[in-house]
Amino acid sequence: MDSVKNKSNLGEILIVDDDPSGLKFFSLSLQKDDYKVVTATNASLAKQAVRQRGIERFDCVLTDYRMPGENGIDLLNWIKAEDPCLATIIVTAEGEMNLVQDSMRGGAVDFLEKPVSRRTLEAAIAKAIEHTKKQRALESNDKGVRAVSRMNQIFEAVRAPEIESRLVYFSNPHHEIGGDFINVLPVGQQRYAFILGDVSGHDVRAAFVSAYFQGMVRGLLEKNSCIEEIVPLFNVLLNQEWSSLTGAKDTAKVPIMTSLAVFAGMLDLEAGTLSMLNCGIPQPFMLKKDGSILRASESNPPLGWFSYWNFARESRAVDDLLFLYVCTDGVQDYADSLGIDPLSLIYKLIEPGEKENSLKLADAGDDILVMRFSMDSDADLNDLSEPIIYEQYAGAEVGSIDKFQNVWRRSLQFVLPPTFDERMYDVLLCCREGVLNALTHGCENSQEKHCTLAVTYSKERARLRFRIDDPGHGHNFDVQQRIEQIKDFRGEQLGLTIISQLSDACSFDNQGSTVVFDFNVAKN
Amino acid sequence: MISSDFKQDDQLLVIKVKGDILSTNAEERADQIGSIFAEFPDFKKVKLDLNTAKMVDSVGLNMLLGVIKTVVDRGAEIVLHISSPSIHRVFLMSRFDKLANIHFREKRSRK
Repeated sequence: MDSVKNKSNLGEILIVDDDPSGLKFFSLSLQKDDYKVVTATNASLAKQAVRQRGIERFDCVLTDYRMPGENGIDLLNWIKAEDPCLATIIVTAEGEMNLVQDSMRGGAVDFLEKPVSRRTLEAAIAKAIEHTKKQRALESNDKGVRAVSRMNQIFEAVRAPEIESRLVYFSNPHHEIGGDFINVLPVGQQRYAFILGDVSGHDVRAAFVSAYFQGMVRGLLEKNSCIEEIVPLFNVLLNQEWSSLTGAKDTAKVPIMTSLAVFAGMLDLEAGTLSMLNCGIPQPFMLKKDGSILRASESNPPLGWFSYWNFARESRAVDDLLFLYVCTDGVQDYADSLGIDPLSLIYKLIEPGEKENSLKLADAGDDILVMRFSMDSDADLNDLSEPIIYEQYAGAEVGSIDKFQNVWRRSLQFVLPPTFDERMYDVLLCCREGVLNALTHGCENSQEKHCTLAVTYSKERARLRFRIDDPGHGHNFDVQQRIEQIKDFRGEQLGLTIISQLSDACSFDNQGSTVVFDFNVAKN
Repeated sequence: MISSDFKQDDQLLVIKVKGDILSTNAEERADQIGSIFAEFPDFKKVKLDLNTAKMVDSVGLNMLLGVIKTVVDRGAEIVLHISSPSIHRVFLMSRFDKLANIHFREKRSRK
């Protein structure tokens, strides 16, 4: 084994050949081209050289195929196990090319057939060294990403143990690194901040923005700033300071902007209020104690979209609320791809137990993050109804009822045990009749008027409850009474009659502009 | 989709309707059945095959009511063939069995 130092070198090459003349030819040729060479006359000595100098010193290996003891393929396999990035070139005798075809599958970058011209040798070596450099750069990047992703625990920071029992959340990052986060922070006596965020992109930059924002929020909240001050500040930061760092100076290039969708909820247990500032997160859902479902109304654009924006927040009392549900758009998108209501997906994500395989989360195209917070600490969490469908339909959408029905069916099948299939079409028919009634009568087929469909499910009580509200004035008679009096079921109010006959319980409130009906679900 | 077959010997008109009968297709189905009645006016009995339907909503029921009425007004008989338990419940609830013969044979899934 020999090594020769040059004044400069383009790379360090290990040459292995038992033929002295071959070894000399390769050495001298490559040294003339300013490569640093280390030679060995067999595989065993080559391995020794690698161990002594360190495999990372070498940029390429040039080895003869046929040698006493281990051959070139054996050496190749050993090198691949030590450093998969290091390129190896196999040199074969004339006519041996077929024998070493396997070397290509084994991972050799190239092979040369003797006699090898100097030009061919130079080109092969240059290509091999380039290959080694690229592979090592990729591996270095991967290591960096893995190191950052190990810090992911900082992105799930629940630092208020006194309310931790009220919080359920589920996080499934789709990529090894990204910017989704959830923080729960105490901000004063009986006051807490919920911050759920989603940074655009799934790379080191997204993770950096995410960590920066969380650190900024935590620090400023501890110094008695309020979220209404912090959010616009970070918006300006993203828009003005960081956009100039993304190559925007080069007018020929379109810069890749970074944006942050964030929900900030400030809960004051003493005052009994919840203040929400939502910037780009899908509108959160709320379940009220009376079983009705609401959606938060105010929504601002994500941070980083507009230089200046008058961020609007929404506040409400919490004494009539049971749960607050917040999720990133990854949940919404996956629900859309499954053709189900997002609340059905949220229901399954919040449920205890394995879900990566059962919900096929590997098929979700984006990171998934969802949280549910209980507003009532005294509520029995095991005996509650959870929302599984909440939809609003315009009166003019009556022609799309089949499409709506397909979403209901898939959502119900997603949530309910398979035993419910026997009554599925009774449920769908009642739901269809209720919504059609609402769209045609209550909403008068108008684009400007909307009805809502809210479905809740209580696993403990084995009950599905449907509620359909429309903005109409209802009938000028008692609907329930009228239905009971009907002798000919094929006449008026046939749709509402179907609901009363097929469901296990129903009521028509507000003169029929609110229809509520239940179906019992057999337990598994 | 609708297909029809007229058996001359028995003057039996078989109409096979594929899929559900709902508010979104009831009018089209009514037109199609009307065309079949016009094509084969000599029927004495109608077999309306709804075995592939899983749902019939209130508009669909009213459409079927119209079909039944048309057949009965012509002095003919009609039998409705269904295999959906849900449709069977709706037919019984709306007393369709008083207007027409209902032939219900529930489809069982193969194990």
